[in-house]
Amino acid sequence: MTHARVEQAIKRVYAVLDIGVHIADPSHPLGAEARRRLPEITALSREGVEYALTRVLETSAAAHDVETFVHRAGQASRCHVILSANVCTAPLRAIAFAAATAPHVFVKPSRRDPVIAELIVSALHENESFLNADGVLEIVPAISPSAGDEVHVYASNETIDKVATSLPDGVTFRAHGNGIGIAWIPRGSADDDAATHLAADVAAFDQQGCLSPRIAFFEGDFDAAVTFARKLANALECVHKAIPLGHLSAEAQSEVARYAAIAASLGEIFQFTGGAVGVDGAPIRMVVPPPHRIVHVVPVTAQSVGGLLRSFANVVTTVGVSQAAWIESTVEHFAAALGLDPMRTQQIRWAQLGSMQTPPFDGPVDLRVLKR
Amino acid sequence: MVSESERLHRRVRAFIAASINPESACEDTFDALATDIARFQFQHVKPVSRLAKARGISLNAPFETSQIPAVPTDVFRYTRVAAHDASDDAALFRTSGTTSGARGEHPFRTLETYNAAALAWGQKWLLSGLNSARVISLTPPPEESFDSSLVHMIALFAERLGGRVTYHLVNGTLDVAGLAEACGSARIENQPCVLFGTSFAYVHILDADPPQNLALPAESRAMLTGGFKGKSREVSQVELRAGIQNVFAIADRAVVGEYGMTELSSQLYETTLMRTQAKHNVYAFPPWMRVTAVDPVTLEPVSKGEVGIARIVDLANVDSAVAIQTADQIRELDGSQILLIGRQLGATPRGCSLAVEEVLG
Repeated sequence: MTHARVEQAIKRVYAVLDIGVHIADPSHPLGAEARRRLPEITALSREGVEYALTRVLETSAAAHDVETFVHRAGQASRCHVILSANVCTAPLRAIAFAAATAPHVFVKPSRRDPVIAELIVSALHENESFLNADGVLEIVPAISPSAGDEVHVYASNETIDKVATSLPDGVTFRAHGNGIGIAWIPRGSADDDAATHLAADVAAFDQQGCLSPRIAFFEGDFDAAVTFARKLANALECVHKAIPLGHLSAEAQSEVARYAAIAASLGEIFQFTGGAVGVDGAPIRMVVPPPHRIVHVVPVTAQSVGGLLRSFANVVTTVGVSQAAWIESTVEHFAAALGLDPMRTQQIRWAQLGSMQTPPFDGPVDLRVLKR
Repeated sequence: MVSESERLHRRVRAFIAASINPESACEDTFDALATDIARFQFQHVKPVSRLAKARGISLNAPFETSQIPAVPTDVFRYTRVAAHDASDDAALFRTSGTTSGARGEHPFRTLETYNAAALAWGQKWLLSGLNSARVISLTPPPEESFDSSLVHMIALFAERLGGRVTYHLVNGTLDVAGLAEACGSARIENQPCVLFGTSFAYVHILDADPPQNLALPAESRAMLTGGFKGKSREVSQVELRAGIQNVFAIADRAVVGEYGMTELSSQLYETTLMRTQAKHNVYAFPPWMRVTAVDPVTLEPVSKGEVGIARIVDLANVDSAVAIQTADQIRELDGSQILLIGRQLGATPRGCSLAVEEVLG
């Protein structure tokens, strides 16, 4: 990419971030509209929407992160983006990444949750900085790419497969599919802060995102894991008081009931209004709980974690570690235990608990890229 | 522990025998047996005892059959559900697997009770009227699939029917030519056949190119079980049954649905073969089994006629979990029958979040 093109791409990215500032602001018309519409369609509580807009939505970024962001993007004259629901703020980064790729962006929002995408597109139509950087942004009901275009898909693996097979030759395709986050609680770090920070990561988007932690690997024995699980349950109950869990459909409630019975059979379950924490008594195979603010705590040794996680290693998007000081050794340990090559290791976002949902603005939140 | 287990097995077999043959004596009631087995499992089967503790059920206090905690079928994928050690396993049946690759396991210390239950109910609704018959199985042979409860059951039925059996799924491939040969032999000998297969195996046969002459002699019947699990194109039950009738020259009522699962020791059958008014998708459960439609959230029984998920108490599950919670939607009907509606769908919206179906199966 030439220097001029990079400059233009960076300007478009910052323009998108500027819209994020307005959406995060409850007194701005964009922020007011987001707060009016999102609780109706996301199933998040009003407090859950507020948390997402003020604590997770990207509004700024370090210059070096934006440079990396643009560097990670491809280069095309047109980019088509298919967005998913579940994480109401996700369209901002996805649209920014498309705008880093191409000046002309076509956005197909989720039918279930088009709000943030629509707000960004409408605001950018009048954004001088974006327009001066040759930016053109359109909402489309369906994408119709041509050879030379780039297509970005954020969806389930099933949808990604369908889109991939429908594309004409010559289209560059990149997709981000199903994923989960996991937490790692090394021996001696299972304090109240670890529980509180993990609870915050779980609460965002009611755990519906691919960065949301659903399993906590706990280095220690069952009894110690139960003690940590109790702390985590207390922390999640506290979070629920401030940011109530959103509406659960009858099907979601049945998933919770099913998980609770499984966890009770395997070890211990702490169930409460606004979530549940299970502890695996004798982990042999991985249990991944449903995403309704539920965490499955798995007592492990440093040696056993790799064997348990290996079959799911390809869907891990992020690993949250209880203390920042442990991150470097965790990366080394997990890479060795899971047999990750350097590229796959770099695709996982390694974060301190409490910041799993706010990764640096240096690329898509999910750094794994599926290609055709 | 083993002697206690053995006593319970004997009582269950006596109950099964008395259920089928009124001349057999049995003083036990279903509820007495169910609660005695549950007490045994509370003591010796860890997942059952943990679940009982979580539900506040104590060994020292009286409880009813409806209060026995039902172990979710998923648990068989995550831990061992057995009263005995693995070294005492007489058999270990495994489920056919899910996207995540984890397979459920049901260990058996003895197969005597399993065999008694399977034969008694299979004889009544599938094998009735046949003293001997040729068995044609669209499954792998036992030596290739020793951990399949279905294959074990087919071998058991074949033995009961005289031992003439051929298997036509070898190394994962359906042997259509061999199947055609077996059907042709049966026609020449005019010997009725019992055909066994899963839905996906039948679909592959229906799609066989070129079509073969697979007509079977009169009195033949076909057992149909299981889903597709991505192993073939999916077709409706109506289309599948019509195809089986057409290809194998079997009457509609002789295509008998079986509902079973690795986590159980007993099976349910459609009664169409023996009852002219019976409908497909309506399954009869044996007297040693109790199936209740429960609310998927509260796990309490739903009102009469409402749809719920199947909670199954199977007395033949002596050494594992006598009460099993499935995710299959049913409606209870009169006469120890259920209408099978389908699997409860997961609630997790598709998107970047990993779907529950992919991990819970």
